[in-house]
Amino acid sequence: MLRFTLVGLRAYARRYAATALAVVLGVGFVSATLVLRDTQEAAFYDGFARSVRGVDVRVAAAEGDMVAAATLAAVQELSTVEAAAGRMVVSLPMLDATGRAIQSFGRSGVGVSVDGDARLRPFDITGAVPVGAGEALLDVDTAAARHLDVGDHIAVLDAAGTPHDLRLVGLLDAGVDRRLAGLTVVGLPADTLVALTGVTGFDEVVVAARPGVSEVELARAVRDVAGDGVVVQTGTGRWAQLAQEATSVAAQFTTALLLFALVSLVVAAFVIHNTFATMTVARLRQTALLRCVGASRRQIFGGALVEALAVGAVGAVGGVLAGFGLAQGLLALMSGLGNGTGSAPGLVLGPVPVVVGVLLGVAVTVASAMLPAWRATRARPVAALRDDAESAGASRARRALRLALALLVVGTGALVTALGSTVDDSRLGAALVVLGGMVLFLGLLIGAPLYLGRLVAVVGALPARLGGVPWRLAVANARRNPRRTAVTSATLMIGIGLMTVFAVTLDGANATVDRQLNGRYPVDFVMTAIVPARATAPAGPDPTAGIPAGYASALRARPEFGLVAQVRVVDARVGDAPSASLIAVDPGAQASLIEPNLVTGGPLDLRPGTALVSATSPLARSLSAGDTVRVEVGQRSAQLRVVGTVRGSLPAATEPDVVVSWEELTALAGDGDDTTVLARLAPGATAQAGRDALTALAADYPLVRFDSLADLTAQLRDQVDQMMAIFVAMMAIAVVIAIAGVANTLALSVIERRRESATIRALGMTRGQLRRTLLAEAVLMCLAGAMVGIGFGLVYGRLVIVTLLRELEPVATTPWGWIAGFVALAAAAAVLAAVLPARRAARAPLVAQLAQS
Amino acid sequence: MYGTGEAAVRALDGVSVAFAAGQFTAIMGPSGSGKSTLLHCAAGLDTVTQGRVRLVNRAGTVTDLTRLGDAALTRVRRDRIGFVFQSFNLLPALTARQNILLPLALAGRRPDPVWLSTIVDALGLGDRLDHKPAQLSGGQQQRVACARALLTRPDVVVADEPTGNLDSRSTQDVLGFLRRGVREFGQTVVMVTHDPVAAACADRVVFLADGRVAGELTRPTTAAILERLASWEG
Repeated sequence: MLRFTLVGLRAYARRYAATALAVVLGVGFVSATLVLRDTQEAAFYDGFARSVRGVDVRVAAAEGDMVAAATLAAVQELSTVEAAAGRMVVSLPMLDATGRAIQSFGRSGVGVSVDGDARLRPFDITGAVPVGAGEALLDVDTAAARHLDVGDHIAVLDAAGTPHDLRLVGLLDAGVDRRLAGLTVVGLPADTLVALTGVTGFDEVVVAARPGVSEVELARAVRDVAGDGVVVQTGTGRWAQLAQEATSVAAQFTTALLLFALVSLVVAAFVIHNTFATMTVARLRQTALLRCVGASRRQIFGGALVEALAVGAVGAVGGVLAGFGLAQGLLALMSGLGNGTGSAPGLVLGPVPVVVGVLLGVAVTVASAMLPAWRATRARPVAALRDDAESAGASRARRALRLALALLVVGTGALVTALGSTVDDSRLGAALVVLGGMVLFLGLLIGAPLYLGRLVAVVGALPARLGGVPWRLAVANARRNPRRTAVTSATLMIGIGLMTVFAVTLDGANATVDRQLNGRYPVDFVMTAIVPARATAPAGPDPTAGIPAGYASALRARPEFGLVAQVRVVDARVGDAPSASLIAVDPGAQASLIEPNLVTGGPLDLRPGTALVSATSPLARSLSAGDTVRVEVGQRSAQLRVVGTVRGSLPAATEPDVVVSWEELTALAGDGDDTTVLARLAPGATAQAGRDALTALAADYPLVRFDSLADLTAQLRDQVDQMMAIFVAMMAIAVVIAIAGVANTLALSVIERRRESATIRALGMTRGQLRRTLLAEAVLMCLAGAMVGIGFGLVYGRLVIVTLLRELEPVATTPWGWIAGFVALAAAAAVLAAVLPARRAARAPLVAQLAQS
Repeated sequence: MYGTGEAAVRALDGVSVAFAAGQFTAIMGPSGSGKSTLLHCAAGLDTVTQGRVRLVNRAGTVTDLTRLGDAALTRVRRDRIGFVFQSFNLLPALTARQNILLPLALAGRRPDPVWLSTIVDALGLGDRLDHKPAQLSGGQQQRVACARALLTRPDVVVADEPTGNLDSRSTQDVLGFLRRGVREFGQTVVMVTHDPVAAACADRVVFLADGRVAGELTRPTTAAILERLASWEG
């Protein structure tokens, strides 16, 4: 039996092509994802490996603080210490050729100390170490991006805002460091850094032990002299901590990819199932003959399983190899986009992607082939002799069972969705909606054989009337075997359904944010401060990131601007909440930006002693008009009376919790920089004039960044479009598999209906008409599947947006452009899939087929 | 009995037939007479609604086919019954030799090389053994099927219109071979046919009409058969 199966496999190898392709693609995606994860991890390892190179003990300050220079001195005195070095990482913006600060996502660059002990250096240096005044190092990524090299000059900004000129004497390579990714890194001697930034103290102090002294011993000694307020770790401990960080970051990145990969595998499973099911029917006669001649049911089942195993194994191995190639390509793409991979090691090909890929590929193939294999054993020997008419579809009982199951699942899904939309917490609600959606979609898939036939008839009604015989035949053929049609269409349903959900969700998010930005607060320009990069990112608004008050006054002095508003956001303790954001708008602009009709609970009455609670803040649940709450900023506090709730938000400001008057905030937080400055053009002034004015001011305020609202909206739209493109690209793999599946179904059905086609051709149908029939079938199946997918996506994308962004007054849109694109994609998929089978069907010689009766 | 209610069809109605061992029996009848159904039931390919099918082996042991479960029935078909159909006898992916050895391979047994070469020589297939069915003529394919049927030395060879698709020369070859099987090797053969010439090769002809036995002839000649058939026409 085994030999027979293998012989059969070899003989009909081509019929398995589409199945194998589906497995290759699905497994390829999975293994590519796993390879990428391993590579990312290795890159991170390599990155932080440099920072713990030769380090036996590490001293770091508590969050946000610095290690005092005195500590370094004390440590260096220890007898057990071979070498000790303090590492500084301070904010040091670098200026570009036009004098503007180079920033990455709103963060300016850093400076690092480079004159510590060479053995404890966390980066590699090519060139010389800066010693004299005016000498500096630059990181390789920035140097490459800006075409700078040893001997060139750069400019940095000191704490007072004065530019300093430096000459590059070398380059430094810090590998992959998450904190420094994308930022400019300037290397300078420690005292120069102190002079420029005024920051004393170290980010961390690292110590190497004298030979013979263990890490633990040294750690104890260091802890004794280090005093309080610092954390002392052994090198091994630090390595473990960083390793864990690296793994979790890499894992986050790949989780999303893995989910998509799994979707592809599901689609592949459909294709495989379909192939084996069709082949079972096509080979019914042979199977029956085998049973006649004495093959037992178990032998038949075993044969089918071996088939599946063989195809799965070949596909899985091919898939793993394809995955490697895919990962390599993706990596090249990412480093081409300058994602700060520096000199990270190349692709890491570990055993995990191989093992997982092969196992998964084989398992999916065998599992998908199970049901058809079992059905093959049901072949009655007598069928070998009679020309058994094709089973007219499942029995009544089976259809009723399917209907019941489908309704049950759909109902459950709908219930969960309904639950999700009524739940308070928007995030939990959205999660429930998504879960409900998945269950409901599953129900749709289960019930597909029941309604797809009718849907195909509806879709094909018009073309059948206009297009004649090919279309009528196509409709009839598609309805003949509802299970096969359903499984084929299902693949496209999944792919296009998911794409539609993403399109609707992202478009809706875009529209919502758009409205937020443009709708309520018609300002033309938004100015924010370029945040100085810190060793550790602070939680909440950064008190050191500010626009000097002089900026707003300078703006007001210019004729191009009609309204200039200053917005300050500070971190405060409000009631029991340890960290809430307190926001205030300067008195001159308050009336314009906080409209009375946005306030509920009482007339707008914002003066010292009163506060408004933002409707989107979690505090809104516990505070309402009339309550008194204690607000603390730093050492100062005040008791404020809540006078109402306010809706909406300000552009480019973090979600505020409590709104107070300008005077109140100044009283609590003292004088300080503005967080955001908003400006509206004076009537008659052009946008370009405004932009020129802002550019002129930038000379004096290089750390202030300005964007027109149109810019901000455009940037956001770009990001959303990018995300959409990524999702669509990932789903494209699923669609490719679906195409393979459709082609497969068509090819197999061509083989099955050889005699019919011959009869029809003998009766007068031309080759062209036959081709068109197949094409029509493909188009009908694909369109039907796409329609269900799009319908599902429209409903669920909407639900997700409405639930998730509930507090932001969501706008649910229908991205007609994308949807039209998806329909076109489905049609294109159909055409592509039908090309080969149609050609082969039309080419088959007439007489030979007829004679085979 | 096939179908239910109004669509019920009695393919065979109260048929009681015995096929003697070591004899070549032919079953004849017009289309719709139920001859194929009779054959299928006898060979354990189809189930009977009522009645019994008993198979007696060379040692005299009686097996009731209607009482056997699927697995046991499969084994009986594999080891004790040989099949030759009108067409679609062979598995297209296998060579002639592999097709002949198929039942034995399924049972996991090796063929007796002497017996195998005897059969192959008798059928004149020596040079065709490594060809695939597509490379063989209709007559050659049927001969391969006969070889397969005989290889296991079954208790009975069941043939369903074996010469239906063949030209007269090949028909003679196949019929001659079946007769040799009966004469030289004591094989029992039951053949369904509508061709009087083929039926004339048998030792006994059983006539079926409308699901019932309608007579029989022993040691028939072509003329006698034709005469009997004609008598029903009128």
